[in-house]
Amino acid sequence: MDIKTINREIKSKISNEIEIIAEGENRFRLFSPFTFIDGDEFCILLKKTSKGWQITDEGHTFMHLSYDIEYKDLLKGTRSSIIEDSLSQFNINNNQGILLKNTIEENIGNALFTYIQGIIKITDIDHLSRERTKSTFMEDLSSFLNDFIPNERVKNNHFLIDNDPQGKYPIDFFVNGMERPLFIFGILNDSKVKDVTVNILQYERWGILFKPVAIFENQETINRKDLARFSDVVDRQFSNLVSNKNRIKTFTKELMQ
Amino acid sequence: MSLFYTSEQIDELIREEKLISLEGYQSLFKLKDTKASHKEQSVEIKRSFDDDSFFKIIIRQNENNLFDFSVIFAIVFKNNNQIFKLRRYNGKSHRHRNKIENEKFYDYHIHQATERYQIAGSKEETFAQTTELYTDLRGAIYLMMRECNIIEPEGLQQNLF
Repeated sequence: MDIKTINREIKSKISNEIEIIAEGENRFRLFSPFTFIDGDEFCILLKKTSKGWQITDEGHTFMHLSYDIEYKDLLKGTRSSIIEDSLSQFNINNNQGILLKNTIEENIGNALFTYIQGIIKITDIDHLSRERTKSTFMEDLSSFLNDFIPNERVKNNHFLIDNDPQGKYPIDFFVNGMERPLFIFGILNDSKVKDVTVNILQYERWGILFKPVAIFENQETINRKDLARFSDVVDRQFSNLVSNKNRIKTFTKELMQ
Repeated sequence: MSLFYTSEQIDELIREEKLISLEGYQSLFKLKDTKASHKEQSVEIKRSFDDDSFFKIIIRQNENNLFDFSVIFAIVFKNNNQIFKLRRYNGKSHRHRNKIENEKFYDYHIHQATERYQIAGSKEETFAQTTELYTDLRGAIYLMMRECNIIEPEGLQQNLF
């Protein structure tokens, strides 16, 4: 097959995958091969306006993502950053959950490609959630703890200002209101295990009364030697967050009473 | 680790009799506002012989398009909050593609958990089929209740009058 034939075949294949149907006055639905991970195509509409064209998802993209991720969680941390970056990079407006891009007729093809690129990037969040990547672990842990511990009892990323004014030995979650406050640490990797081991030894050296607790993203991935040293200094460990939520909640609530 | 269910286990979960509370049933038709442009609701149903898991109905309705809605019926595990979607009743707002069957359609459609899509590495509810059994959210909720063997609560009739 020569290059002209290949070119013709590819163009034909791609154009066959794009289809536009009229749905009401000045409103057109675009079908394309771009889908969410469950096989549902992106919802894309073209609306004729007095100034040109508007490309919109009518709020479907965020609604679809909310099947798996609570909408309020889409607005936090890494997920929110991905969304904001995508909107900014591809010049898409977020109007109360509706993703919009305005364009003139001469530029509608380019605008459409850009819009689809933006939606693809935003829907990466779904993959992020499925794989529970490390970048969301601390956010998920924070969201989980802050949901059941009253605000006045927990401080995120706290440091002991009297002993550690420069904040060299931070505590991920400082739960107070009892004789021995809980120092809760989220552990993602070997490096964090080493850091937290040093932190705990330093708190002990300062004579701080506290109860250190570690919640691992996945304890099975941690180096055995590092873990052995860590186990000597930590009071309570949970091997992962996902399957220990009830235990962590019960444990924490009991100590908070 | 992701949940995995065989076809037989999925059928068994669908067939299992579920008793929804009166309060839960009434909530199905009272959606809450969100900061986005859709309304939402979720209702939990206890299992009679298993305290480790419960069923959950998740509802979404797009405020910009009445035909864009979703009624999800799922099982949730308490200890790790993992969710497995057994059915999803969608409106007509987008085209769906079944990649294994190499087909696509634009219509009201019902997603269902299948063993073959899980084996293929896709989300459990990726397979979908068109339906003519509903055309709005309320119809989809009623069909979900019938197909997933959710028993209407006692006292419903008295409560209506």
